[in-house]
Amino acid sequence: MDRQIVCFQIPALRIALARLNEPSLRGRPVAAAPRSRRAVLLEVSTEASTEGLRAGMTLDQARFFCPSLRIISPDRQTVELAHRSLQESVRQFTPIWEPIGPGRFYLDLTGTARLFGRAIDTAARVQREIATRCGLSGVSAVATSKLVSGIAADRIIRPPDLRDVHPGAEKQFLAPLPVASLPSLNRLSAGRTPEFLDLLADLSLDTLGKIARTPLDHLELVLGPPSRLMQQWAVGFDPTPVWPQARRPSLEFSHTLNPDEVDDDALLALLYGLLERLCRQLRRSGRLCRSVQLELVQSDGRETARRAALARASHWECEIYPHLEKIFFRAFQRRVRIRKMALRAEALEAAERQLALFPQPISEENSRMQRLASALDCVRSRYGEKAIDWGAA
Amino acid sequence: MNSFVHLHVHSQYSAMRGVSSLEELCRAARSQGADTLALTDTNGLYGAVRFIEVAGENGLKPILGAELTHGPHRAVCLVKNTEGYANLCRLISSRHCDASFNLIGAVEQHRQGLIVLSDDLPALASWRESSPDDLYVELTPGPPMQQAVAFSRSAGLPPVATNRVHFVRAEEYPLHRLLRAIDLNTTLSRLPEDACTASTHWLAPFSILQRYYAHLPEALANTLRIAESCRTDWDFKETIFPAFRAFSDAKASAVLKKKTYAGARRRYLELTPKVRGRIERELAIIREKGFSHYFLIVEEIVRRTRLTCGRGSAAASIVSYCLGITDVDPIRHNLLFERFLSSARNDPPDIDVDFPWDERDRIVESVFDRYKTEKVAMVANQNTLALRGAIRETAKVYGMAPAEIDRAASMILKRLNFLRLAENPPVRSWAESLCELKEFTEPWPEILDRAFHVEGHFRNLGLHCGGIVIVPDEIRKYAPVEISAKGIPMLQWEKDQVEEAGLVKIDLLGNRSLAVVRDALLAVERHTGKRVDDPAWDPISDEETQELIRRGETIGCFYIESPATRLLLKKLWTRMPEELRQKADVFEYLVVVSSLVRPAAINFVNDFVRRAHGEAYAPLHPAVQKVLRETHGIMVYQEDVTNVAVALAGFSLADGEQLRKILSKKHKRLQLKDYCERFFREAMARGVPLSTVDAVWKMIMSFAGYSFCKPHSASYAQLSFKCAYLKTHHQAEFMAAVISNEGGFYPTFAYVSEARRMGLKFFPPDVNASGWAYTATGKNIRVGFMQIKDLERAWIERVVAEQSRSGPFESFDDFWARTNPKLGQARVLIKAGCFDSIAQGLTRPGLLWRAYVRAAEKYGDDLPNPREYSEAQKLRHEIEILGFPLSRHPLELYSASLATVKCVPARDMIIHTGKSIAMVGWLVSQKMTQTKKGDPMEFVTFEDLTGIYETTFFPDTYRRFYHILAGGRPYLLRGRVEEEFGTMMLNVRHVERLDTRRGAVIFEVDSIAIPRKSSRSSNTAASPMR
Repeated sequence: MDRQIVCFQIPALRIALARLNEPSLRGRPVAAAPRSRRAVLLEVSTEASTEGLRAGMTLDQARFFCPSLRIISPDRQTVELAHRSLQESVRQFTPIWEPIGPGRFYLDLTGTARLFGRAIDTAARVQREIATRCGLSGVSAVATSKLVSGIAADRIIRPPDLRDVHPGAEKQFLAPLPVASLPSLNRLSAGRTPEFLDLLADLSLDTLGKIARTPLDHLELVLGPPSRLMQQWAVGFDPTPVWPQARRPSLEFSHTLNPDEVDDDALLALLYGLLERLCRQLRRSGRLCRSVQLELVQSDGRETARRAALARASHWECEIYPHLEKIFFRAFQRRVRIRKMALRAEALEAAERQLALFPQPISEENSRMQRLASALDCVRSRYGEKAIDWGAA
Repeated sequence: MNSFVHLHVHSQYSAMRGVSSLEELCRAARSQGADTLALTDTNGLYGAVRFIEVAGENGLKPILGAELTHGPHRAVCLVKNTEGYANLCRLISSRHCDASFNLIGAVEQHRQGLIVLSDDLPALASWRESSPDDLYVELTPGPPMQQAVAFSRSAGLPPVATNRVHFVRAEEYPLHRLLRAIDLNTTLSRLPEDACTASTHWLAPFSILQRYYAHLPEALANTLRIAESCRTDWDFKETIFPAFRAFSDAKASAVLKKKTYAGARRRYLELTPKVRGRIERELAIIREKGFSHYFLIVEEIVRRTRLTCGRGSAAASIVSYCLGITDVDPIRHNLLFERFLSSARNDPPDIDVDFPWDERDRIVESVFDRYKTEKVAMVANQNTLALRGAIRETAKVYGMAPAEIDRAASMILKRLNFLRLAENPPVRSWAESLCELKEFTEPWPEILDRAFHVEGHFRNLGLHCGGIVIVPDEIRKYAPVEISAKGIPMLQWEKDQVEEAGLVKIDLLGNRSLAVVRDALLAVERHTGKRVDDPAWDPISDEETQELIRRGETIGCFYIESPATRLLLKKLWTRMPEELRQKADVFEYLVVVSSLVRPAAINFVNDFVRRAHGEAYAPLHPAVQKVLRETHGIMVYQEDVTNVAVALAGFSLADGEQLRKILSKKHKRLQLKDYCERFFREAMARGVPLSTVDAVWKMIMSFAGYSFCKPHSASYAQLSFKCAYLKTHHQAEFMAAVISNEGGFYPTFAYVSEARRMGLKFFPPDVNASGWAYTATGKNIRVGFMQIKDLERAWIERVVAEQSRSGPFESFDDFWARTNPKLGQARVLIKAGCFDSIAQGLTRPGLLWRAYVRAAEKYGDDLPNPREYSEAQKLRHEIEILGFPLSRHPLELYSASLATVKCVPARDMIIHTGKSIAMVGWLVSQKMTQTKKGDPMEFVTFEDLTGIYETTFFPDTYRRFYHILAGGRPYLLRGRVEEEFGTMMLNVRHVERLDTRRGAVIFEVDSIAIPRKSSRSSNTAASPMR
C-alpha cells in the first residue's frame, strides 16, 4: 500500500496570527522581526516577498527595499499557544503526526481512507477545521513520502491551496525543481551547502531532474558517497517514517538582557539568578536533573549551546553552579555581547524520598549552602521573588 | 623649591600602556612646580626627540630614558651622557632584534653612562656584583615596596622613589585598562590583573608622594641627585652623513665631479658656459656642505635600474640631472638650485627617488647588502589609533557585534561632517548628542567618549614606504632599531624625528606609473623592434601629446588622471584665447596644474584659470607681485611660501624655509602659532593692511600637509608627459600596462571602459594566448591571468613557461597532463573561458565534469557534456571571476528597466546645457570636499555607454543621498547641466539606485555590484577571546 503523508503548514505563522488581531495588516507587506534596530526578518508575508524581501534580511535592508513594510514583533507565547491548538486539531485525524516547527506538521494518513476518505480530502478537512477553529489559513500537500509532501507544501504560494502528488508522479513533479528545494541538503553536503550547490551548478546539475537522469556511477565520480541518497531523493524516494512526538521533560528559564552585556561578573550574576529559579522549581516539584544546558544568544544573533553532565542528579545551586560556570566560559568565547541566556535542566528524575542508608558525602560548605537555599526558597515563596537578593561582598 | 623629580614616566609612546601625551605630562609636571622630568617609555625611545622639544616649550629639563622589560626582568635606564645614550640605543635595539637577548647580561655589558633603577632583585644582585655605581633600588608605593626596602638595606644599594607614572590624573586609569584590553584583544572583565599597572600610578605631586616615603626621605632626595647627574641639554643639531665606500671627502668630491661631467656630456652633448657655470656652482656648494658622499650613494642606487624618477627639490639640481638621479633639465625649465641646497641653509638635503613599484624591494635589499645592517635601517611609521580604529577597537572591547561596529563607525564618521556643535563641547555630551541623533543606544555614548580619548595613541611601528638611513659607522648608536614584520631593520622614529635627530634619509619609493611606462616601452619594443626611449625621445615637444593633455583625456596618465585635474586641464585650455594658447607652454602649465590640484587650494583654481585666460588682476600686494608673476598671483609651489614670507613680512630666507617646513609636518601646532603671530606682526609693521595679511596667510595655510615644490612638480610632469605620449601613440600597449600594474586612481573596470572608448577591443583570457599581465596586439588587448581571482602567480608562470617551451596546449586533457592543476585552478580557468579555444566540442560544464573527475583521481568513460551555460550564467561567472563583466557594459543589464525613462547619453550632455535632464551612470570615483562655509559636498564621476562625465553633489543633495552612493553601482541621476570654462557638469538634484528599481534586478543585487578595488584584511591576533 502506498503511504499517504500529508505536510500541513501555516505559512508565516507569526504574521498570520498578527493579522487575526489586526485586520489592517492584511493585504500589505508585513514582516516579523524582534524589536531591535539590529534584528533580522524572521518571516515575510507573500506581499513582502513580492517586493523582494526574504527571511534573514536585516531590518535596515528591508526598509530600504520596501518603505511601506509593517513590522510585527513575534510573540513567543502566542505562537506556542497557536501551535498547541493546531496540534489538537491535527491529532483528531491520525495518531501518527510529527511537529516540525511552529505551525508545521507531517501527518501519516496511511490506512485512514475507510475512516476519513481520500488523504487529499482529509487534508482539506484539516485545513477547514483549523480555519474554523483558529481562523488560520494553511496549505497542505499529499504524497507518498515526507520529502515530497514537504517540498510540495513549500511550493504552494497562497493558502488555502492543496496539492496532491500521486504515487508514481513524484519524479515528474520534482524534475524541474532546483536542487536547493531539498530540505536536508545539509546532510548531503556535510554542512557545506553553499559549496555543494556551487559544485552542482558548475556541473550543470542544477535541477532534481538532471540529478535523476545522470547515471549513478557518473554522479559518484564527482559527488562521492552522497550520490545514491541524492538520486533517491531526486526521484522522490524517502522511506523515513513520520515520528510521533516523544515527550522529553525538561525545565527551562531564560533571561533577555537589555542592553546586551559583555561583563563576565554581571553575566555570571544573572546566570546564578536563573539557576536559583531553576533549582527552586525543581525542588518545588520534587525533581532532580542529571544535566544542564546553557544556551547563549549573542548580539549578532549567533547562538552557542553547551551541556554539562552532573556527577549525580541534583537540584542544589551549590552542586550545579561549578559545572555551569565552566560551560559558561566554554560557550562565551567570542568578544560579542550576550543578548539572551537560557538555562535548561534535562534528564529530570524524581527526587528520592527514601533517606540514604549510609551518610552521603557532602561538604560542610555545601550543606550550609543547601540550608541557605532552602531558607531563601521560604522567604521568596512567602514574600515574593524580589524580597531577598544577593549583595556584593 | 623642588624636592622630587619623576624619574619613571610613561607617555603615549609606551604602546597601548601610557595614557597621556607628552604635552599633557609636561604641562602637568610644570604646573606641579617641577623643573625636570624623565621620559621612560617601555622598550623604546619612540618619542625622545619630540619630548626634548615639548619639555623645552614647557620650561622643563628633559631626562631621556626607557623602561626595559624582558621576561621576568625589568630595569629603568636613565641617560647620563652621550655614551649612555648610545648604550641605551644599543640595549633597546638588542632587546628588539636579538633572539638571544638577556636583560641582565645586556645591561651589565652596556651600563656605562646609564643610571639603572629596578626592583628586580635578582637582576640588582647581579649588577651589584660588577659595580654598585649608578645602581638604585626602585621603590614605588604598593605591597612589594617593603621587600625592595629590605633589599636596599641589606645590599647597601640606595633607594629611589618613583611612581611609575602611566597617566597624568588618577581618573585616567580606566583609559589605561581600555588600552590594555585593546592590546590584548579582550574585554575589560577578562583583562588579567598583571596586564595593567596600578590605579595609583599617576603623576602624583610631591605633597602626596611624601606621605608614602615619610620613613625613607633619602628615596625622595635621591631623585634629585639622579636628575642632577643626567644630561638634560639635548640637541641633535649635528648632521650624520653616510660615507661612500670609505672614501675621503676629497676623493668623494673628485669622483662626483668626474661623474657629473661625464653625465653632462651625455645629457647636453655640448657643454655651454651656462651649463659649466651651473655645474661648478653646485659642486662648490655640495663640496662645502660635505654632501658629495650622499650624491654618490644615491647615484649608485639609481644605477641599478633602467627607469627612475628623482623627485622633490633634488630635481632643481643639475648635478642630480647629470648623474641620472632626476630627469628634468633645470636649465631648460628654470629651476633654482637654492631650493635644494644653499650655503645659507643648515638642513640636510633630501633626495627622493621613485622606482617601478615591483623593483623597489629589490633596490632596498641591494642597499642593505651593500652597507649591511650595521650601518643602515629604514625609517618607521609610528602607527596610531585613528578615529575609525579607536571607535572600532573600543567597541570590540565593549563586545559590540562586528556588523553593528561597521555600521556605527561608518555612520558616525560620515555624520561628523554634518554636526554643528558649540565651541569645544565636552566629549561626553558630544557623544551623547550624536548617539541620540543616530539612535545609538547604550553603551555607544560611552564607547564614543572613550574612543575620542584613546584616539591618536601610539600603537605600533610600521615600515615607512621608502625612507632609508645610512650612517658611516654604527646605526644602533644613533637611534634604537627594531625589526619590521617583513624582517627589515627600522628605526623607532618616524621621518620627522629622524630628520630632527640629524639623520640623513634617502626616500626610495615605489611608483606604479614608472612600471607602466617601462612595460609599455618594452611591449612597443617587442612589437616594433624600435626603442622609443632613446636619448632623443622628447615627449614634451610632441604636438599630439600636448593636444591630448589640453583635452584632459589623461585617464591612465601619471598624476594627471583624477577628475579634478582633468577638469582643470579642460577648463584651462578649452576657452583660452588663441593668442595666449599659441604662446602658452603645455609643460609649464602642467607643472603648475600638478601643484595646484590639492585639497586646500581648490578655491584658487578658478582664479588661476581666469587669469591664465588673460583676465587682469590686482596682486595680493605689490611686494609679492614679482614673486608670484609666473603663477598669475596665486601661490602654487612650496617655495612661494618662503618667498612671500620674505617679501611681505621681511623674514630671512632661513626663517621662510622653516615656515615652509613646519607647514608640512605633523606636530606643528605650537610652532605654527609662533610663526603666524610673527608673520602678522612683521607684515603689518611694514605697512601691509590686516586684510591683505589675512588673505595671504590663508593662502599659506592651504599648503599645510600637502604641497609640492616646483622641481618636484616638474619632475612629475615629465613622467606625466611620458605617459601621455604613450597613450597617444601606443594606445593598446599603454592601456594594457596601466591595467596590469593596477593601483591607478580608478578601478580596473574604469580603465577597461576608457580603453573601449579609445577604440580598443578586449578578449577573454586564453590558456594559449594570455600571460600573467594584460597583453596588447594592435588595437586588441588580451585579458591576463592576473585578472582571474585566486590564481597563484608562480603557477601561472609555470603554465606560460610550459606553453612556450613545448608548444600550445592542444586540448583540456593535454593541459591537465602538462600542468597538473589543482581543481580550484582548473575550475576558474574553465569558467573564465580560458579553454574555449581548445575545448574540442566540450562545453564549459562538460570540461568541469572532466576536471572534477580528474581531480578526484578517478576515471570514467563517456562523461556527460551538458548544454553550455546560459548567457546570464556566463556573465555572472565573469563578474565572479574577473571582478567585472567583460563581454558587455554592466549598464546594459538595466536597459529593460530604463525603457520607460528618457535619459540623455553622456556624449550629448553638451547640447542640454542649462536644462534639467536624467542620466544613467555607473559610479566610477568620488571626491569629497567642502564648500567655503565648510559644508561637505562631493564631486562624483560616472560613466555610461557613451562616455565619462562629472557631477556635483552640493551640500543639500549630498546630505540627502550620500548614504546610497557607492563605487561600482548603477544610478539614475536627475539634475541640471552646467557649463564652466567650456566643461560640462551635472548639478545633481536627485539620485536613485538602478539596481533596486522594481524590475531592474537581473541578478541578486550583491552579485551585480562590481567589487571595490581594495579589500580590507582582518588582523586577528591570538587572544583569550576571538
